[in-house]
Amino acid sequence: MKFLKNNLVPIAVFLLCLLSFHYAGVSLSYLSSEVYTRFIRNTLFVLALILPVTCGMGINFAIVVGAICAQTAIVLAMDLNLSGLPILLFVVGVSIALSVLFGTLVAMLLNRARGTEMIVSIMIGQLSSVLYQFVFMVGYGTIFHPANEAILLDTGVGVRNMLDVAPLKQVFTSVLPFTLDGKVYSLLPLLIIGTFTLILIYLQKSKLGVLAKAVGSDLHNANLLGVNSNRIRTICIVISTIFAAMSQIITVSDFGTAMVYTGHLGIETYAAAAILVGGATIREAKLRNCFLGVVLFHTLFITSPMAGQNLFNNPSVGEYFRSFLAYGVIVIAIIMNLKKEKDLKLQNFKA
Amino acid sequence: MLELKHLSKAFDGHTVLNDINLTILPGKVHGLIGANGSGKSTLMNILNGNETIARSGGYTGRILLDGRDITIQNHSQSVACGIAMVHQELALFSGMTVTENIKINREKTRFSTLLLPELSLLDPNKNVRDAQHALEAIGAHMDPGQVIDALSLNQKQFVELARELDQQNIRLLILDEPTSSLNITETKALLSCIREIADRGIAVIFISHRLEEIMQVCDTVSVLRDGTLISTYEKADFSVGKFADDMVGRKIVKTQRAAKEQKGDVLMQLSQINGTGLDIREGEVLGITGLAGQGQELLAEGLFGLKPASFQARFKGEKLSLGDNSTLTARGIYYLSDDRAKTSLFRESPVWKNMIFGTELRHREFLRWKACPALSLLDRKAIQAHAQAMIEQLNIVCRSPDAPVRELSGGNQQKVCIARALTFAPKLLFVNEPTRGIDIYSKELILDWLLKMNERDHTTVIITSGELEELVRVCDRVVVMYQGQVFQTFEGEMDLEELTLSLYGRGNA
Amino acid sequence: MKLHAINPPRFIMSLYMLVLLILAVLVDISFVSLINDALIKWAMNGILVLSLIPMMNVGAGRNFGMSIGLSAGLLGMVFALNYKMTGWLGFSVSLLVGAAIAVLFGFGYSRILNRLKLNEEIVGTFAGYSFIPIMNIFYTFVPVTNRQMLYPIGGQGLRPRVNLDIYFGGILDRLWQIKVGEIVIPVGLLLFFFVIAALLWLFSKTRTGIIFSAIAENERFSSLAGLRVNRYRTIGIILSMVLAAVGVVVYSQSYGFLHLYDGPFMMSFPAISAIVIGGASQKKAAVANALIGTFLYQTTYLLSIPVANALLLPEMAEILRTIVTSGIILYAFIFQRKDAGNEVLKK
Repeated sequence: MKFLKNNLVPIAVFLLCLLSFHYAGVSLSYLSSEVYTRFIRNTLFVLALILPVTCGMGINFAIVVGAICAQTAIVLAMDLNLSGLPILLFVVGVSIALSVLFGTLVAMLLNRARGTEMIVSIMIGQLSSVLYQFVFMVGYGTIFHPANEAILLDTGVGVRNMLDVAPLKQVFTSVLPFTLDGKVYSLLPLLIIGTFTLILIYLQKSKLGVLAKAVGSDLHNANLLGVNSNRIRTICIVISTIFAAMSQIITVSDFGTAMVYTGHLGIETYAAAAILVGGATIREAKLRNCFLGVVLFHTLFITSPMAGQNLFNNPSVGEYFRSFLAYGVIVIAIIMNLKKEKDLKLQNFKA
Repeated sequence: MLELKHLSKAFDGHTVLNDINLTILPGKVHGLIGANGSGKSTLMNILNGNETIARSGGYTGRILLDGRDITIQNHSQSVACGIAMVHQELALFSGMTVTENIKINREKTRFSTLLLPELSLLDPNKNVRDAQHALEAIGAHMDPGQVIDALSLNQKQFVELARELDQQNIRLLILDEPTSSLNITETKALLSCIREIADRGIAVIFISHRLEEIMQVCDTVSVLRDGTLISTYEKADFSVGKFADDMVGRKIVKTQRAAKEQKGDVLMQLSQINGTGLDIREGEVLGITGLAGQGQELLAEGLFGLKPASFQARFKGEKLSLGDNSTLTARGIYYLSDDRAKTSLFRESPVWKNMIFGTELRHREFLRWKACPALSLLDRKAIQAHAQAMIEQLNIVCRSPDAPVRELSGGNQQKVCIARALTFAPKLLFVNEPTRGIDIYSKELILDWLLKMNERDHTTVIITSGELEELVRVCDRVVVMYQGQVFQTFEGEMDLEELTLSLYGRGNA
Repeated sequence: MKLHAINPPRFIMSLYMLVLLILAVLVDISFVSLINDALIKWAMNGILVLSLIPMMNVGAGRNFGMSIGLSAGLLGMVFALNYKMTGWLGFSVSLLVGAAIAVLFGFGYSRILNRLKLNEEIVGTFAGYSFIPIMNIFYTFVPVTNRQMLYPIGGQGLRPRVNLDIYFGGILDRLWQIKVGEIVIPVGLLLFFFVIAALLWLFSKTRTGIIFSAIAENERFSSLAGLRVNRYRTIGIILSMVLAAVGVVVYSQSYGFLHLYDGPFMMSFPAISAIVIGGASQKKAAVANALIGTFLYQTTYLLSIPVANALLLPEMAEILRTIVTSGIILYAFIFQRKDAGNEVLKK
């Protein structure tokens, strides 16, 4: 009974998934191949959310900044006409460097906005998204002159929206390919996800993990005991940004085309929805919440339009439903968290 | 070992510590007692490097450790000198294990990374072993892997102690009211543990309101009063009577009021206050007092829902539900809190708004459209006249009734609060610490007005305060609260010494 | 914050407007049409910005969940259009039905927000977001009989944009127009806008209005003084929602289309940005803040369009607008700290 109560959200979504899968009428192999694609594209975004939740900042919607860093690195790499292993190293290196820089900036802003981190991170995401668009849409061709003219629009100003990143995709497909549902997949993304999961586990067992937990549990006490909470929060945000950047690299390489202006939009909402669907709260998030959440949310994501088509003869109903779920689960998470805190306070009073 | 010489501290020109000279010896337990506001916590904050001290201009005088001059400007300097402090409110992290709590910010790591020390990997075995050692050293037995939330209050206190004692080369341990929330057996365990710590050669400063504990565990006791060190006693000279005398000082206080001839009817009945009860009589001035944290403020704050409380209240026989403020207000019950900024003023708003706010329905003359109060504009003329009259009567110093309240001094702000109470004209008035933090002239004026309200308007006044003299002067009755219960009631001629002892739980209840 | 005090957002926006004006002179655009557009845009968006005021003043935060109130207004119009009501009848029925639905929505919304004090803004954002797909499902299945509103194929579900020309498009814009040279002053529209502004201003001076500001300033004290805080918050939230519904009807008649589905998705951000530019702080918003802020926000946007076109970078106008919107809101969150002494009453 307690298990049921504590895992209400994942169980409810699981039941919805079953229903949706049933009515969608697709084969299990189709579903698993689609879910696999989405799993490799989204898991790292979701893992990126764990540390900020641990140190009490709630869901970091500013992971968009990480995705932007990765896209910038990719555009630069295409500009320099790189290929093979150098392109992978260049893209990863530059996006980590940018993530450290911009992640620190994001953390500085968030540290000034105690108590409203979540909504501020949304606004930071929006602002950096347009600034980024501004640079590539207006700055390129006017202030910056790329070496590779082919990435520009025909007018000579602004980068094309769709950039073919075949060299990057090739690096990925050449490593350990395997076939699922008639399509060829590479194992490399899975390896990267595995590596970063291990890194995250390491971090949780490091000094950072304990201090982040302490800062998240009681910021005031942590400061009292000499923990530099701002520094801890900054490190957590930087790591979160790096994770998001890596995820965006995987996504773009897997897709084969970089959507320069739109590729990073919306990832934060899906990541947030996935981790919450997986049973995390805005105060506590575990690895298993991430993996479970990604699978559940994206199963629903894939099947719901088809289920909508079959049930109501209208595919958009399913789409509406899934975006309702994505946003609604965040509202529910905040409500439940507040209720929990209230209960805790009452308990402390009684004790 | 530790010597304080001519230590003084002032906040905004107001002296709270005056020329303290104190010597603390290793292996001894040094007790520190004094009434609320006597400067104990300021002294401890200086030793602990609390940031409020540095922010308000630091301290003057010298602190010597083993004969060497040291300066303590922040927490880490204090830690470096081997000073550790256990706060009254526990600084533990819920959701984390005992080990994690004990080793916080001092975790042992397997290896340390160069660039970011935070990224070094923890060594769980070493940390658990350290925690175990620290716990065993104070005679506490618990599983270090347990989550802190599952522990009892007593065990949590031990974790906190263990955390402080786990520090390298600790020389001085400060304990601020460590027993205030413990029961008798728990207290006993803690006291014997404190003794053991001292026997290891660590100096201990022990602050407590419970005189028995002080007598039992301390080797030396110092008494503070109004920021001055009054006396220091060795074990052989300990006496509760002397302590009480030194804490209160020998002052003669005259009762200002003639005893009332007849007693009024019961106006309000408070019951189930941890098994005790209190009747408030119509027309009386009742004082409620107690040491910090004995539950005296909880009566009014609980009634008005500011803090959770579980007593029962009846007003003229009608049962009131706690926190139902609109009913309380409608019955003419009024609460004036001591936390002016948070609960009794609109700091950014003008003086007139603070004076009349919430009284419009009792004063229809303030409204232009009397038929529909909700949508009525305010009658600025009537309000201005009223505010001006109040300013004159109470002698409030302000530019004009339109000046924002935050511009006023503390005393004048309190007068504005009194003005609002006067405008409201309550049947029953609860006042909490009416004279705290204000100048001496305003103090007298405010007390006079409280009495005037009682005599002229027949308002029943309940004053909660730690200022015993003031209470004795103005009240018909004084009730002492101890450990959340109504402990003793004084009436007529009140003896200050008896009253003081009663605060510490001594006396014939 | 005093009205006459120069606050950084307003200063920056004024400077930005000045730069745009100089650029506009350089690229030689038509100032007559600009002024005409600016007047209409001002009133068209102004009511939406005004709708933020009651909630802010009662301390329930900036209404990031505005789309709930907007949906109510849209439903009002769907109702009027379904019965093919045109002209003033259609307009006023849309207003009335929209306002009535907004009262309902606002009541429900206030039930959520009153439980989540201090978290109103983040919850409002996502409550607003998640309300849109719910409405979309409704638009898909609502049994509307007016064929002009439905998808041409299939006949099920409302179409995303319904042209209002034959109903009440521009009905306020065209009311009592006065021509001064080439400049057209939409007196009717402005009057409607100013009357609402004046009523709101008057409301802030009433006893209820003063209680609102008191609750925002010190909720704990207000509750101690015997006020039923949640009841006043509910009133404030409902008022905001009703004004948002009225605002979207006025907006739509100027715009000429009924924009359903994702139309209200991003409408709260520009409005909030405008009121911050006008000098409002989180808990204190005056009518003048809304008037000044909307004018600056909308006029700079209007100016930036021809300038961007002249520079052959037409996308720039929209990008700049979004930079202004999110930048200003971010500023408000980070540099306008909350007043002290205003913790939520914890029971």
